[in-house]
Amino acid sequence: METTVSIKNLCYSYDDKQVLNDVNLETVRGSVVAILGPNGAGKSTLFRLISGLLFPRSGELNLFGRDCRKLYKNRPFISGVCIDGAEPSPKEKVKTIVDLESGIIKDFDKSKFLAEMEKSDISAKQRYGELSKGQKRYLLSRLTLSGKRDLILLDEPGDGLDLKKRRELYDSIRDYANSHNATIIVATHIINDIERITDDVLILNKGKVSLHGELEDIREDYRIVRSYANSKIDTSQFEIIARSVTQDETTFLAKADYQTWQSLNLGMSIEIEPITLENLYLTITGETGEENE
Amino acid sequence: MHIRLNHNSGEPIYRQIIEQVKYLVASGDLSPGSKLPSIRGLAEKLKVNPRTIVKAYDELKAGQVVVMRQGQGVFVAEPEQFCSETIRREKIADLSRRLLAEAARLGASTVEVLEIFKEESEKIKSGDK
Repeated sequence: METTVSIKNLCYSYDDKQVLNDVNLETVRGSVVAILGPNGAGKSTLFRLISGLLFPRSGELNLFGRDCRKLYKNRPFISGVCIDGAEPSPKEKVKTIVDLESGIIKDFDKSKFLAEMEKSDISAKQRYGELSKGQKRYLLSRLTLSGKRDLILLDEPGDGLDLKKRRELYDSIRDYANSHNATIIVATHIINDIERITDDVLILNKGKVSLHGELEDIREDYRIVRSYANSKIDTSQFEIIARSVTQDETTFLAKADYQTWQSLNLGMSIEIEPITLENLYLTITGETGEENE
Repeated sequence: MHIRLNHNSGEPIYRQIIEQVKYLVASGDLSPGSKLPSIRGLAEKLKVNPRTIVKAYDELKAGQVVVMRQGQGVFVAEPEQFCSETIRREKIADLSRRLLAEAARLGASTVEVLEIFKEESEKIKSGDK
């Protein structure tokens, strides 16, 4: 499988504030990659680095085997990106934005695209600045998914959209990755949407990678182990990846093989939970999740 | 072939596909010799990576539930292709021991296990889930 993005020991700071600290990531063709993390975890900076809006200070960043410093030397890579800082001007008309893009995209059916936008109440005559946040994201995400590209970055593509539209959009992200053998990296807070379609998961926390892997492998080998009333746990049969402790509950993210989990019985006051993206995220980032309920 | 995935059950998707194909074979919804959907087609329908389908089909092949015919696709294996009577009996005995052990751990009696077993057999026969 061909590597698309390869990041090694990447660090980045704004002035003296370090936002990315020793980040490693490797993506392959045909994969959807979910980047999750609390606000300020470094997701946007990572996207800006991958898309050439920023240059790495230290570490390696290769795209399709080429060093990004060389790749971006003569042309900024903004095609295929739907992120903050790479948006059209608010004065730009929707038609102009689509016209510009249609010059880059092969076999692009402009009138069909505009007709589809009309269905979401986005008219060709409107200016970009007049669109709602959700409409802006929708326009740019759909535009990004219209051409033939090898790498696409989407930052909160479902932001401001209703459930049905989000479903459609996420389905089309999956279809695009499959049919174009492309890598699509998606940063989002809406965990349920991305859980349905993603292959890889990268959890960023305070600029560091807390977890990176294929979701199928994580579902297979990882479990959340909870012990109430701080009962003693026999930890000899699994590896502890992360732990969080509160007054009356200890939670582990633990790893063992699938067969071990099937037969493991740790006792009455200890629960073994299968992995969902949500409990994985909450355990790793140490957030309680209560504020979301 | 009707497969329903549960994305937040924590069960790996490829395992869900394997279990459901096995169930469809057991219930007769997929008869021996019938063709399974193509890898690309099923990936598109289920909105998953084609690699996930490949993994499921590979394991189904290893478990002799399906056979792959070069250039033609994936087919449900004929029952006699599964294995000899001795091996078959051994496998069923092994599964039964595991079922009984787990049932005992949960505090279920053999009578209760047989009752549930009968109910589930009826369900499979009637194609219910």
